[in-house]
Amino acid sequence: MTRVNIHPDEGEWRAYLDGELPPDRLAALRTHLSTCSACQARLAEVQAVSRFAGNLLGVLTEAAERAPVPADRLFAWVQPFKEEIPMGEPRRFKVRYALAAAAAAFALSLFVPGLRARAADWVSIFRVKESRIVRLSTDDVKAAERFTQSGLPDLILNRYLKEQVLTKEQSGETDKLMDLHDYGFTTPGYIPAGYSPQKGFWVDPGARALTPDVDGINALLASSGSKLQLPAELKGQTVRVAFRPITSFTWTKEGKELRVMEGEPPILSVSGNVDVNKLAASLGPVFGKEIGLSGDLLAQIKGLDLSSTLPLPVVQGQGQEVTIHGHKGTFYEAKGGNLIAWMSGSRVNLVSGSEPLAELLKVAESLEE
Amino acid sequence: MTEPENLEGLYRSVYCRALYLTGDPTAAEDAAQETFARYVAHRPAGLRSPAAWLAQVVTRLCFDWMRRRRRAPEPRAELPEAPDTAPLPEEEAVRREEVARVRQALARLEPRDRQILLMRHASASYREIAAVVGCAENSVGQLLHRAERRLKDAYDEGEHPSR
Repeated sequence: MTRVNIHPDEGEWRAYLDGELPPDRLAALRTHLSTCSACQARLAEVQAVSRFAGNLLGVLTEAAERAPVPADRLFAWVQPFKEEIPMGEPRRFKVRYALAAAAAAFALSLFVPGLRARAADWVSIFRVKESRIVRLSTDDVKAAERFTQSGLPDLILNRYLKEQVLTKEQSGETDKLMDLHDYGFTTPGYIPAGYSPQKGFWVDPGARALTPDVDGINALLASSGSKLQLPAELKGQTVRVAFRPITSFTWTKEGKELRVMEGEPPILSVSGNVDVNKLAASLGPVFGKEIGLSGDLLAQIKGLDLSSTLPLPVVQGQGQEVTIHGHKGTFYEAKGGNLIAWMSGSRVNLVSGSEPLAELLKVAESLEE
Repeated sequence: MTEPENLEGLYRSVYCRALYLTGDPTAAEDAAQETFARYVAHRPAGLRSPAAWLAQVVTRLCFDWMRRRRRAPEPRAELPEAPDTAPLPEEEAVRREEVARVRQALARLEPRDRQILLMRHASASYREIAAVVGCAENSVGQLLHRAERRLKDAYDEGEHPSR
Protein backbone atom coordinates (compact mmCIF):
# COMPACT_ATOMS: atom_id res chain seq x y z
CA MET A 1 0.00 0.00 0.00
CA THR A 2 1.27 3.45 -0.79
CA ARG A 3 2.26 5.40 2.23
CA VAL A 4 1.22 9.00 2.29
CA ASN A 5 4.28 10.98 3.29
CA ILE A 6 2.75 14.43 3.12
CA HIS A 7 -0.71 15.66 3.93
CA PRO A 8 -2.77 15.98 0.73
CA ASP A 9 -3.74 19.50 -0.25
CA GLU A 10 -7.31 20.75 -0.73
CA GLY A 11 -7.18 19.97 -4.44
CA GLU A 12 -6.51 16.33 -3.80
CA TRP A 13 -9.17 16.16 -1.10
CA ARG A 14 -11.58 17.67 -3.58
CA ALA A 15 -10.73 14.97 -6.08
CA TYR A 16 -11.09 12.43 -3.27
CA LEU A 17 -14.65 13.63 -2.68
CA ASP A 18 -15.44 13.14 -6.36
CA GLY A 19 -13.74 9.75 -6.51
CA GLU A 20 -11.47 11.11 -9.20
CA LEU A 21 -8.25 9.54 -7.96
CA PRO A 22 -6.51 6.34 -9.00
CA PRO A 23 -7.74 3.45 -6.83
CA ASP A 24 -4.47 2.95 -4.97
CA ARG A 25 -4.21 6.66 -4.21
CA LEU A 26 -7.80 6.68 -3.02
CA ALA A 27 -7.10 3.78 -0.68
CA ALA A 28 -3.96 5.45 0.63
CA LEU A 29 -5.82 8.63 1.44
CA ARG A 30 -8.55 6.70 3.17
CA THR A 31 -6.02 5.07 5.40
CA HIS A 32 -4.27 8.36 6.09
CA LEU A 33 -7.57 9.98 6.98
CA SER A 34 -8.23 7.46 9.68
CA THR A 35 -5.18 8.59 11.62
CA CYS A 36 -4.82 12.28 10.81
CA SER A 37 -7.20 14.68 12.51
CA ALA A 38 -5.74 17.68 10.66
CA CYS A 39 -6.65 16.11 7.33
CA GLN A 40 -10.05 15.13 8.65
CA ALA A 41 -10.69 18.79 9.40
CA ARG A 42 -9.32 19.83 6.04
CA LEU A 43 -11.53 17.35 4.18
CA ALA A 44 -14.57 18.53 6.16
CA GLU A 45 -13.85 22.10 5.17
CA VAL A 46 -13.40 21.21 1.47
CA GLN A 47 -16.64 19.29 1.62
CA ALA A 48 -18.52 22.16 3.28
CA VAL A 49 -17.36 24.61 0.61
CA SER A 50 -18.25 22.14 -2.11
CA ARG A 51 -21.75 21.62 -0.70
CA PHE A 52 -22.32 25.33 -0.34
CA ALA A 53 -21.30 25.96 -3.95
CA GLY A 54 -23.41 23.02 -5.07
CA ASN A 55 -26.47 24.45 -3.36
CA LEU A 56 -25.94 27.81 -5.00
CA LEU A 57 -25.61 26.25 -8.41
CA GLY A 58 -28.65 24.13 -7.69
CA VAL A 59 -30.64 27.33 -7.28
CA LEU A 60 -29.53 28.44 -10.73
CA THR A 61 -30.19 25.11 -12.40
CA GLU A 62 -33.65 24.98 -10.98
CA ALA A 63 -34.33 28.53 -12.10
CA ALA A 64 -32.92 27.79 -15.53
CA GLU A 65 -35.19 24.81 -15.97
CA ARG A 66 -38.21 26.79 -14.94
CA ALA A 67 -37.45 29.80 -17.08
CA PRO A 68 -40.15 30.56 -19.61
CA VAL A 69 -38.92 30.06 -23.12
CA PRO A 70 -40.29 32.33 -25.78
CA ALA A 71 -42.72 30.53 -28.03
CA ASP A 72 -40.68 31.14 -31.15
CA ARG A 73 -37.74 29.40 -29.55
CA LEU A 74 -39.85 26.47 -28.53
CA PHE A 75 -41.20 25.97 -32.00
CA ALA A 76 -38.03 26.80 -33.86
CA TRP A 77 -37.01 23.23 -33.43
CA VAL A 78 -39.92 22.16 -35.56
CA GLN A 79 -38.32 23.70 -38.60
CA PRO A 80 -36.06 20.82 -39.62
CA PHE A 81 -38.95 18.43 -39.52
CA LYS A 82 -41.33 20.65 -41.40
CA GLU A 83 -40.08 19.55 -44.77
CA GLU A 84 -40.87 15.99 -43.92
CA ILE A 85 -44.42 16.72 -43.03
CA PRO A 86 -46.31 17.75 -46.11
CA MET A 87 -48.15 21.00 -45.87
CA GLY A 88 -49.78 20.68 -49.24
CA GLU A 89 -53.32 21.20 -50.30
CA PRO A 90 -55.87 19.11 -48.49
CA ARG A 91 -56.70 16.08 -50.49
CA ARG A 92 -60.22 15.71 -51.69
CA PHE A 93 -61.25 12.50 -50.14
CA LYS A 94 -63.61 9.96 -51.26
CA VAL A 95 -66.73 10.73 -49.38
CA ARG A 96 -66.47 7.89 -46.93
CA TYR A 97 -63.17 9.21 -45.72
CA ALA A 98 -64.56 12.68 -45.68
CA LEU A 99 -66.97 11.43 -43.09
CA ALA A 100 -64.09 10.67 -40.84
CA ALA A 101 -62.65 14.06 -41.58
CA ALA A 102 -65.98 15.39 -40.51
CA ALA A 103 -65.36 13.97 -37.11
CA ALA A 104 -62.57 16.46 -36.91
CA ALA A 105 -64.32 19.25 -38.67
CA PHE A 106 -67.92 18.94 -37.72
CA ALA A 107 -67.59 20.54 -34.36
CA LEU A 108 -67.09 24.22 -34.66
CA SER A 109 -67.30 25.90 -31.36
CA LEU A 110 -66.11 29.13 -29.97
CA PHE A 111 -64.96 29.72 -26.51
CA VAL A 112 -66.32 32.76 -24.89
CA PRO A 113 -64.05 33.75 -22.05
CA GLY A 114 -65.85 33.31 -18.82
CA LEU A 115 -68.11 30.55 -19.93
CA ARG A 116 -67.64 27.19 -18.40
CA ALA A 117 -66.01 24.88 -20.87
CA ARG A 118 -68.46 22.42 -22.32
CA ALA A 119 -67.91 20.74 -25.64
CA ALA A 120 -71.27 22.02 -26.82
CA ASP A 121 -70.17 25.58 -26.26
CA TRP A 122 -66.91 25.32 -28.05
CA VAL A 123 -65.89 26.37 -31.49
CA SER A 124 -62.90 24.64 -32.90
CA ILE A 125 -61.25 25.32 -36.15
CA PHE A 126 -59.17 22.80 -37.86
CA ARG A 127 -59.02 21.07 -41.14
CA VAL A 128 -57.59 17.89 -42.38
CA LYS A 129 -54.41 18.31 -44.35
CA GLU A 130 -53.74 14.81 -45.35
CA SER A 131 -55.01 11.37 -44.82
CA ARG A 132 -53.41 8.16 -45.86
CA ILE A 133 -54.11 4.54 -45.45
CA VAL A 134 -51.09 2.91 -44.00
CA ARG A 135 -50.22 -0.47 -42.77
CA LEU A 136 -48.10 -0.98 -39.71
CA SER A 137 -46.93 -4.20 -38.16
CA THR A 138 -47.62 -4.99 -34.52
CA ASP A 139 -43.94 -4.31 -33.89
CA ASP A 140 -44.38 -0.82 -35.21
CA VAL A 141 -47.42 -0.43 -33.06
CA LYS A 142 -45.46 -1.53 -30.01
CA ALA A 143 -42.64 0.84 -30.89
CA ALA A 144 -45.10 3.69 -31.25
CA GLU A 145 -46.60 2.80 -27.92
CA ARG A 146 -43.18 2.97 -26.39
CA PHE A 147 -42.76 6.42 -27.83
CA THR A 148 -46.01 7.68 -26.47
CA GLN A 149 -45.15 6.41 -23.04
CA SER A 150 -41.68 7.84 -23.15
CA GLY A 151 -42.88 11.40 -23.03
CA LEU A 152 -41.11 12.15 -26.25
CA PRO A 153 -42.31 15.28 -27.97
CA ASP A 154 -45.16 14.37 -30.20
CA LEU A 155 -43.67 15.82 -33.33
CA ILE A 156 -40.80 13.38 -33.13
CA LEU A 157 -43.33 10.60 -32.79
CA ASN A 158 -45.15 11.83 -35.82
CA ARG A 159 -41.96 11.91 -37.81
CA TYR A 160 -41.12 8.40 -36.74
CA LEU A 161 -44.57 7.20 -37.65
CA LYS A 162 -44.33 8.83 -41.01
CA GLU A 163 -41.03 7.14 -41.65
CA GLN A 164 -42.61 3.86 -40.80
CA VAL A 165 -45.53 4.63 -43.03
CA LEU A 166 -43.33 5.28 -46.01
CA THR A 167 -41.23 2.22 -45.34
CA LYS A 168 -44.18 -0.04 -44.96
CA GLU A 169 -45.95 1.28 -47.98
CA GLN A 170 -42.89 0.57 -50.03
CA SER A 171 -42.33 -2.88 -48.68
CA GLY A 172 -46.01 -3.80 -48.72
CA GLU A 173 -45.98 -5.28 -45.23
CA THR A 174 -49.40 -5.77 -43.87
CA ASP A 175 -50.61 -6.63 -40.47
CA LYS A 176 -52.89 -3.95 -39.29
CA LEU A 177 -54.67 -1.29 -41.21
CA MET A 178 -54.41 2.19 -39.80
CA ASP A 179 -55.20 5.69 -40.78
CA LEU A 180 -52.86 8.53 -40.21
CA HIS A 181 -54.32 11.98 -39.96
CA ASP A 182 -52.66 15.31 -39.82
CA TYR A 183 -54.64 18.17 -38.52
CA GLY A 184 -53.44 21.68 -38.48
CA PHE A 185 -54.97 24.83 -37.24
CA THR A 186 -52.32 27.22 -38.32
CA THR A 187 -48.82 27.35 -39.64
CA PRO A 188 -46.47 26.41 -38.19
CA GLY A 189 -48.78 24.45 -35.93
CA TYR A 190 -49.36 20.74 -36.00
CA ILE A 191 -51.62 18.40 -34.19
CA PRO A 192 -49.67 15.27 -34.71
CA ALA A 193 -50.98 11.82 -34.07
CA GLY A 194 -50.00 9.29 -31.52
CA TYR A 195 -51.09 5.75 -31.05
CA SER A 196 -52.47 3.44 -28.44
CA PRO A 197 -53.11 -0.22 -29.12
CA GLN A 198 -56.54 -0.05 -27.55
CA LYS A 199 -57.83 2.85 -29.53
CA GLY A 200 -55.60 3.32 -32.50
CA PHE A 201 -54.12 6.68 -33.38
CA TRP A 202 -54.70 9.65 -31.19
CA VAL A 203 -53.96 13.31 -31.36
CA ASP A 204 -51.73 14.53 -28.65
CA PRO A 205 -53.44 16.69 -26.06
CA GLY A 206 -51.97 19.93 -24.98
CA ALA A 207 -52.43 23.58 -25.28
CA ARG A 208 -50.22 26.06 -27.00
CA ALA A 209 -50.27 29.77 -27.15
CA LEU A 210 -49.95 30.92 -30.71
CA THR A 211 -50.11 34.22 -32.45
CA PRO A 212 -51.75 33.10 -35.65
CA ASP A 213 -50.56 34.42 -38.93
CA VAL A 214 -54.02 35.56 -39.86
CA ASP A 215 -53.08 36.73 -43.33
CA GLY A 216 -51.14 33.60 -44.03
CA ILE A 217 -53.90 31.33 -42.80
CA ASN A 218 -56.55 33.20 -44.72
CA ALA A 219 -54.46 33.02 -47.87
CA LEU A 220 -54.08 29.31 -47.34
CA LEU A 221 -57.77 28.87 -46.77
CA ALA A 222 -58.68 31.00 -49.77
CA SER A 223 -56.30 29.18 -52.04
CA SER A 224 -57.96 25.93 -51.17
CA GLY A 225 -61.33 27.44 -51.96
CA SER A 226 -62.55 27.58 -48.41
CA LYS A 227 -65.13 30.15 -47.45
CA LEU A 228 -63.67 30.28 -43.97
CA GLN A 229 -61.71 33.40 -43.21
CA LEU A 230 -60.40 34.40 -39.83
CA PRO A 231 -61.38 37.93 -38.85
CA ALA A 232 -58.73 40.61 -38.91
CA GLU A 233 -59.28 41.24 -35.22
CA LEU A 234 -57.33 38.09 -34.52
CA LYS A 235 -54.13 39.66 -35.76
CA GLY A 236 -51.62 40.05 -33.03
CA GLN A 237 -53.82 38.32 -30.52
CA THR A 238 -52.58 35.42 -28.51
CA VAL A 239 -54.71 32.46 -29.27
CA ARG A 240 -54.66 29.49 -27.06
CA VAL A 241 -55.40 26.33 -28.92
CA ALA A 242 -56.08 23.24 -26.92
CA PHE A 243 -55.87 19.95 -28.70
CA ARG A 244 -57.78 17.11 -27.26
CA PRO A 245 -57.32 13.48 -27.93
CA ILE A 246 -58.94 12.18 -31.05
CA THR A 247 -58.82 8.53 -31.74
CA SER A 248 -59.16 7.17 -35.18
CA PHE A 249 -59.30 3.60 -36.21
CA THR A 250 -60.14 1.98 -39.47
CA TRP A 251 -60.36 -1.60 -40.37
CA THR A 252 -61.62 -3.70 -43.20
CA LYS A 253 -64.34 -6.19 -42.82
CA GLU A 254 -65.16 -8.47 -45.68
CA GLY A 255 -63.91 -5.98 -48.19
CA LYS A 256 -65.76 -3.08 -46.66
CA GLU A 257 -64.10 -0.37 -44.68
CA LEU A 258 -65.24 0.94 -41.37
CA ARG A 259 -63.89 3.93 -39.56
CA VAL A 260 -64.20 4.99 -35.99
CA MET A 261 -63.22 8.29 -34.58
CA GLU A 262 -63.74 9.53 -31.11
CA GLY A 263 -62.39 12.42 -29.16
CA GLU A 264 -62.83 15.92 -28.14
CA PRO A 265 -62.66 18.62 -30.71
CA PRO A 266 -59.86 21.12 -30.39
CA ILE A 267 -60.74 24.26 -28.59
CA LEU A 268 -59.89 27.71 -29.68
CA SER A 269 -59.85 30.33 -27.03
CA VAL A 270 -59.19 33.87 -27.93
CA SER A 271 -57.88 36.49 -25.62
CA GLY A 272 -57.84 40.18 -26.15
CA ASN A 273 -60.33 42.33 -27.92
CA VAL A 274 -61.65 39.84 -30.37
CA ASP A 275 -65.29 40.21 -31.13
CA VAL A 276 -66.41 36.71 -30.54
CA ASN A 277 -69.71 37.30 -32.25
CA LYS A 278 -67.97 38.57 -35.34
CA LEU A 279 -65.80 35.51 -35.38
CA ALA A 280 -68.82 33.28 -35.14
CA ALA A 281 -70.52 35.27 -37.88
CA SER A 282 -67.54 34.84 -40.16
CA LEU A 283 -67.85 31.12 -39.77
CA GLY A 284 -71.50 31.15 -40.69
CA PRO A 285 -71.02 30.98 -44.46
CA VAL A 286 -69.14 27.75 -44.04
CA PHE A 287 -72.18 26.10 -42.66
CA GLY A 288 -74.74 28.02 -44.57
CA LYS A 289 -76.32 29.22 -41.38
CA GLU A 290 -75.64 31.25 -38.35
CA ILE A 291 -73.45 29.57 -35.83
CA GLY A 292 -74.79 29.84 -32.35
CA LEU A 293 -72.41 30.18 -29.48
CA SER A 294 -74.13 27.53 -27.59
CA GLY A 295 -76.36 24.68 -28.47
CA ASP A 296 -76.30 21.06 -29.04
CA LEU A 297 -73.05 20.03 -30.60
CA LEU A 298 -74.67 17.27 -32.50
CA ALA A 299 -77.13 19.65 -33.99
CA GLN A 300 -74.22 21.40 -35.63
CA ILE A 301 -73.62 18.39 -37.79
CA LYS A 302 -76.82 19.10 -39.62
CA GLY A 303 -76.54 21.31 -42.61
CA LEU A 304 -72.82 20.87 -42.99
CA ASP A 305 -71.91 21.33 -46.59
CA LEU A 306 -69.53 19.05 -48.40
CA SER A 307 -69.11 21.51 -51.19
CA SER A 308 -67.05 23.67 -48.92
CA THR A 309 -63.46 22.65 -49.12
CA LEU A 310 -63.48 21.85 -45.50
CA PRO A 311 -64.41 18.29 -46.17
CA LEU A 312 -67.69 18.00 -44.40
CA PRO A 313 -70.42 15.51 -44.87
CA VAL A 314 -73.83 16.24 -46.19
CA VAL A 315 -76.34 14.84 -43.86
CA GLN A 316 -79.93 14.57 -44.82
CA GLY A 317 -82.85 15.09 -42.62
CA GLN A 318 -82.95 15.41 -38.91
CA GLY A 319 -81.27 12.18 -38.17
CA GLN A 320 -82.62 9.39 -36.05
CA GLU A 321 -82.15 9.32 -32.34
CA VAL A 322 -80.30 6.29 -31.06
CA THR A 323 -78.93 5.22 -27.73
CA ILE A 324 -75.50 3.79 -27.21
CA HIS A 325 -75.34 2.24 -23.81
CA GLY A 326 -77.27 5.04 -22.25
CA HIS A 327 -75.68 7.82 -24.27
CA LYS A 328 -77.92 9.77 -26.57
CA GLY A 329 -76.73 9.75 -30.13
CA THR A 330 -77.93 10.47 -33.61
CA PHE A 331 -77.80 8.38 -36.72
CA TYR A 332 -77.50 10.17 -40.02
CA GLU A 333 -77.62 8.99 -43.53
CA ALA A 334 -74.97 10.80 -45.43
CA LYS A 335 -73.91 10.74 -49.03
CA GLY A 336 -71.87 7.65 -49.59
CA GLY A 337 -72.04 6.51 -46.02
CA ASN A 338 -73.81 6.50 -42.73
CA LEU A 339 -72.87 8.12 -39.52
CA ILE A 340 -73.56 7.74 -35.84
CA ALA A 341 -72.44 10.54 -33.58
CA TRP A 342 -72.80 10.71 -29.85
CA MET A 343 -71.24 12.26 -26.84
CA SER A 344 -70.06 10.60 -23.70
CA GLY A 345 -69.18 13.25 -21.20
CA SER A 346 -67.21 15.82 -23.12
CA ARG A 347 -66.02 13.30 -25.64
CA VAL A 348 -67.36 13.29 -29.15
CA ASN A 349 -67.66 9.94 -30.83
CA LEU A 350 -68.25 9.16 -34.43
CA VAL A 351 -68.69 5.91 -36.26
CA SER A 352 -69.12 6.00 -39.98
CA GLY A 353 -69.23 3.55 -42.80
CA SER A 354 -71.26 1.98 -45.49
CA GLU A 355 -72.82 -0.43 -43.04
CA PRO A 356 -76.45 -0.13 -42.13
CA LEU A 357 -77.53 1.32 -38.82
CA ALA A 358 -77.72 -1.98 -36.95
CA GLU A 359 -74.12 -2.77 -37.77
CA LEU A 360 -72.83 0.68 -36.94
CA LEU A 361 -74.71 0.54 -33.68
CA LYS A 362 -72.96 -2.67 -32.73
CA VAL A 363 -69.63 -1.04 -33.38
CA ALA A 364 -70.63 2.04 -31.41
CA GLU A 365 -71.80 -0.04 -28.51
CA SER A 366 -68.59 -2.00 -28.46
CA LEU A 367 -66.74 1.26 -27.91
CA GLU A 368 -68.84 2.15 -24.95
CA GLU A 369 -68.45 -1.15 -23.20
CA MET B 1 -34.55 16.95 -11.13
CA THR B 2 -38.31 16.79 -11.09
CA GLU B 3 -39.79 15.19 -14.19
CA PRO B 4 -41.49 17.66 -16.50
CA GLU B 5 -45.19 17.17 -16.44
CA ASN B 6 -45.79 17.41 -20.14
CA LEU B 7 -44.08 16.97 -23.45
CA GLU B 8 -43.45 20.65 -23.90
CA GLY B 9 -41.87 20.66 -20.50
CA LEU B 10 -39.50 17.94 -21.61
CA TYR B 11 -38.24 19.98 -24.53
CA ARG B 12 -38.18 23.07 -22.40
CA SER B 13 -36.01 21.50 -19.73
CA VAL B 14 -33.59 20.13 -22.33
CA TYR B 15 -33.36 23.49 -24.05
CA CYS B 16 -32.97 25.35 -20.77
CA ARG B 17 -30.25 23.04 -19.60
CA ALA B 18 -28.37 23.64 -22.85
CA LEU B 19 -28.88 27.39 -22.55
CA TYR B 20 -27.66 27.34 -18.99
CA LEU B 21 -24.51 25.46 -19.95
CA THR B 22 -23.64 27.23 -23.17
CA GLY B 23 -25.07 30.70 -22.52
CA ASP B 24 -25.88 30.78 -26.23
CA PRO B 25 -29.50 30.45 -27.46
CA THR B 26 -28.50 29.23 -30.93
CA ALA B 27 -26.14 26.63 -29.56
CA ALA B 28 -28.82 25.61 -27.08
CA GLU B 29 -31.37 25.08 -29.84
CA ASP B 30 -28.90 23.07 -31.89
CA ALA B 31 -28.05 20.94 -28.89
CA ALA B 32 -31.70 20.39 -28.01
CA GLN B 33 -32.61 19.40 -31.56
CA GLU B 34 -29.64 17.07 -31.85
CA THR B 35 -30.58 15.49 -28.56
CA PHE B 36 -34.06 14.61 -29.71
CA ALA B 37 -32.80 13.50 -33.11
CA ARG B 38 -30.48 11.08 -31.33
CA TYR B 39 -33.34 9.80 -29.27
CA VAL B 40 -35.20 8.96 -32.42
CA ALA B 41 -32.15 7.43 -34.05
CA HIS B 42 -31.16 5.21 -31.14
CA ARG B 43 -34.59 4.60 -29.70
CA PRO B 44 -33.37 3.42 -26.33
CA ALA B 45 -35.78 0.81 -25.10
CA GLY B 46 -37.21 0.47 -21.66
CA LEU B 47 -36.09 3.83 -20.40
CA ARG B 48 -37.25 4.55 -16.88
CA SER B 49 -36.60 8.21 -17.21
CA PRO B 50 -36.34 9.65 -20.69
CA ALA B 51 -35.85 13.04 -19.11
CA ALA B 52 -32.65 11.86 -17.43
CA TRP B 53 -31.40 10.26 -20.65
CA LEU B 54 -32.09 13.40 -22.61
CA ALA B 55 -30.45 15.55 -19.92
CA GLN B 56 -27.33 13.46 -20.08
CA VAL B 57 -27.12 13.61 -23.86
CA VAL B 58 -27.67 17.32 -24.09
CA THR B 59 -25.10 17.92 -21.35
CA ARG B 60 -22.48 15.94 -23.27
CA LEU B 61 -23.31 17.81 -26.45
CA CYS B 62 -22.81 21.08 -24.59
CA PHE B 63 -19.44 19.93 -23.32
CA ASP B 64 -18.46 19.09 -26.89
CA TRP B 65 -19.53 22.55 -27.92
CA MET B 66 -17.49 24.10 -25.14
CA ARG B 67 -14.46 22.07 -26.15
CA ARG B 68 -14.78 23.08 -29.76
CA ARG B 69 -15.28 26.70 -28.93
CA ARG B 70 -12.85 26.87 -26.03
CA ARG B 71 -15.25 29.43 -24.75
CA ALA B 72 -16.45 29.80 -21.21
CA PRO B 73 -20.17 30.40 -20.73
CA GLU B 74 -21.06 33.96 -20.05
CA PRO B 75 -23.33 34.48 -17.08
CA ARG B 76 -26.85 34.47 -18.35
CA ALA B 77 -28.62 37.76 -18.40
CA GLU B 78 -31.99 37.56 -16.76
CA LEU B 79 -34.17 35.32 -18.89
CA PRO B 80 -37.39 36.95 -20.03
CA GLU B 81 -40.10 36.21 -17.57
CA ALA B 82 -43.60 35.65 -18.81
CA PRO B 83 -45.76 38.72 -18.40
CA ASP B 84 -47.39 38.24 -15.09
CA THR B 85 -50.23 40.40 -14.03
CA ALA B 86 -50.81 38.62 -10.76
CA PRO B 87 -48.79 39.81 -7.77
CA LEU B 88 -45.92 37.54 -6.89
CA PRO B 89 -46.43 35.40 -3.87
CA GLU B 90 -43.79 36.04 -1.27
CA GLU B 91 -42.20 32.67 -1.79
CA GLU B 92 -41.69 33.39 -5.47
CA ALA B 93 -40.30 36.84 -4.80
CA VAL B 94 -37.81 35.41 -2.34
CA ARG B 95 -36.82 32.74 -4.83
CA ARG B 96 -36.16 35.28 -7.56
CA GLU B 97 -34.06 37.35 -5.25
CA GLU B 98 -31.99 34.36 -4.37
CA VAL B 99 -31.51 33.47 -8.03
CA ALA B 100 -30.37 37.00 -8.76
CA ARG B 101 -27.94 36.89 -5.88
CA VAL B 102 -26.39 33.64 -7.07
CA ARG B 103 -26.15 34.97 -10.60
CA GLN B 104 -24.39 38.05 -9.39
CA ALA B 105 -21.93 35.97 -7.42
CA LEU B 106 -21.22 33.80 -10.43
CA ALA B 107 -20.76 36.84 -12.64
CA ARG B 108 -17.98 38.07 -10.38
CA LEU B 109 -15.87 34.99 -11.05
CA GLU B 110 -13.30 34.52 -13.76
CA PRO B 111 -14.70 32.80 -16.83
CA ARG B 112 -12.63 29.69 -16.21
CA ASP B 113 -13.89 29.36 -12.66
CA ARG B 114 -17.44 29.67 -13.93
CA GLN B 115 -16.86 27.07 -16.55
CA ILE B 116 -15.38 24.56 -14.14
CA LEU B 117 -18.20 25.06 -11.66
CA LEU B 118 -20.98 24.71 -14.20
CA MET B 119 -19.40 21.65 -15.78
CA ARG B 120 -18.80 19.89 -12.49
CA HIS B 121 -22.29 20.72 -11.36
CA ALA B 122 -23.50 19.15 -14.59
CA SER B 123 -21.59 15.98 -13.60
CA ALA B 124 -18.69 16.39 -15.98
CA SER B 125 -15.74 14.13 -15.20
CA TYR B 126 -12.38 15.63 -14.39
CA ARG B 127 -11.17 14.38 -17.75
CA GLU B 128 -13.97 16.24 -19.54
CA ILE B 129 -13.30 19.37 -17.57
CA ALA B 130 -9.59 19.16 -18.28
CA ALA B 131 -10.25 18.76 -22.00
CA VAL B 132 -12.43 21.85 -22.11
CA VAL B 133 -10.46 24.04 -19.76
CA GLY B 134 -7.12 22.97 -21.16
CA CYS B 135 -5.34 21.82 -18.04
CA ALA B 136 -3.93 18.60 -16.62
CA GLU B 137 -6.48 16.22 -15.24
CA ASN B 138 -4.77 16.02 -11.88
CA SER B 139 -5.04 19.78 -11.39
CA VAL B 140 -8.82 19.88 -11.81
CA GLY B 141 -9.42 19.16 -8.13
CA GLN B 142 -7.42 22.20 -7.08
CA LEU B 143 -9.03 24.45 -9.68
CA LEU B 144 -12.46 23.21 -8.69
CA HIS B 145 -11.95 23.76 -4.99
CA ARG B 146 -10.64 27.27 -5.59
CA ALA B 147 -13.56 28.10 -7.87
CA GLU B 148 -16.02 26.84 -5.25
CA ARG B 149 -14.35 28.88 -2.55
CA ARG B 150 -14.41 31.98 -4.75
CA LEU B 151 -18.08 31.48 -5.48
CA LYS B 152 -18.86 31.17 -1.79
CA ASP B 153 -16.82 34.28 -1.03
CA ALA B 154 -18.48 36.22 -3.84
CA TYR B 155 -21.90 35.17 -2.58
CA ASP B 156 -21.07 36.09 1.02
CA GLU B 157 -19.67 39.40 -0.16
CA GLY B 158 -22.87 40.08 -2.02
CA GLU B 159 -24.94 39.39 1.07
CA HIS B 160 -22.78 41.54 3.27
CA PRO B 161 -20.96 43.98 1.01
CA SER B 162 -17.88 45.42 2.66
CA ARG B 163 -17.83 49.18 2.79
